[in-house]
Amino acid sequence: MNKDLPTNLLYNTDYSWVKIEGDIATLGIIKPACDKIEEFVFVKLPEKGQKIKKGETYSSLEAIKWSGHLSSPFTGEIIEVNEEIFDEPSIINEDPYGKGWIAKIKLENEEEKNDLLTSEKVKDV
Amino acid sequence: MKKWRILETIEESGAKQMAIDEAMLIARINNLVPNTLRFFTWKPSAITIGFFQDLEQEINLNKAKDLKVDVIRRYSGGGAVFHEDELTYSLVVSEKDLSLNILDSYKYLCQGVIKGLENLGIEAEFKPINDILVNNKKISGNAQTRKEGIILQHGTILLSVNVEKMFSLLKVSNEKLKGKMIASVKEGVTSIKNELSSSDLDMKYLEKVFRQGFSKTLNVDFEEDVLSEKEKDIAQELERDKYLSVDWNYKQKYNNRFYGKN
Repeated sequence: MNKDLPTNLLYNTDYSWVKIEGDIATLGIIKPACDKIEEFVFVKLPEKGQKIKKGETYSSLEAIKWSGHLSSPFTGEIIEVNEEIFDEPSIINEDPYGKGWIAKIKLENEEEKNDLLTSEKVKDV
Repeated sequence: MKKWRILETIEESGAKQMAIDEAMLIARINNLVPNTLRFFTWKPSAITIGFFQDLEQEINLNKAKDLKVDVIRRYSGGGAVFHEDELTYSLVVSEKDLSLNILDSYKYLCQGVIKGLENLGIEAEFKPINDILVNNKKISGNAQTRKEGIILQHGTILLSVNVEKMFSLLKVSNEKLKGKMIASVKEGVTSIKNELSSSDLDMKYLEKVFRQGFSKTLNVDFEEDVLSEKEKDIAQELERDKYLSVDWNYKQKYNNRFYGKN
């Protein structure tokens, strides 16, 4: 059980969080990971309007002590992208569950959320 | 003891080597293959840049063309690296199988190189974030990337260093600083040939000592294997469509902001 994670969010296996409101999912990086890997320096983002399939990369990031690619947990359409983090990636570190969100996806198949983890199933970072 | 796969050591172009590394990562994500170690060498010599770097800013491209040195963007992060007389390793490992915190994997996986050097009689140490030093001189640089809980780590093990050639290929923002930088890199970098005062290294022997190093520190048995057919297909496609393409290698700076519309 990872007691540092908000219980109202769902989680992927790659240190990302997912907030589902209706058929819209917002994605970002969890705070315990942000704290450990230090400041994000580069971000590549998805494009608004882009169709994405489950498993496709929607964002790539590099922090001082980490580099990785995030896979979409959903098939759907990217309806919003947080372009502020492109110019200032450290916003992700400052406010990972708020201003540091990465993208919003309109879901085609809400059942895909069943593959995500609840906070108690996420291992310590 | 856990069983991991070790692949045959191959000498190939940088585009092919980087395509194979990513194919192994994809296959591991899809649980088609076990955790894997492989060693390889570069022919021709190559410069790789990190995922987010700008090729034209980092590399003297005319010089690279003259010297027939390949240039390739990596899928991993980090900086520009000149690959010539070196043994390179790649590891594809599930984070779950390591049970380490997010920062400890570099140190843990680098222990295999350190143990291999020790097998050769060279005492080395890990220096965060991702270097291995011998008497404070760098002998190995390592880079990582992660996707869906799988780590791809590849690293150099320097057999010799040609600092002048390296600096003729890598751009230094201030030409006046170049001489100083060459001198300081010469001071700060070493190699196996340098440490052993020998120019005659048997590659088969080197592979063996580093394989033993990884086996011992990771506490795994390596089973010799070849790339799966699926990995070969993915690697072939990635080499052709990605790592040999102008779009991937050169134009990243123009489209770095976004993954494009499908």
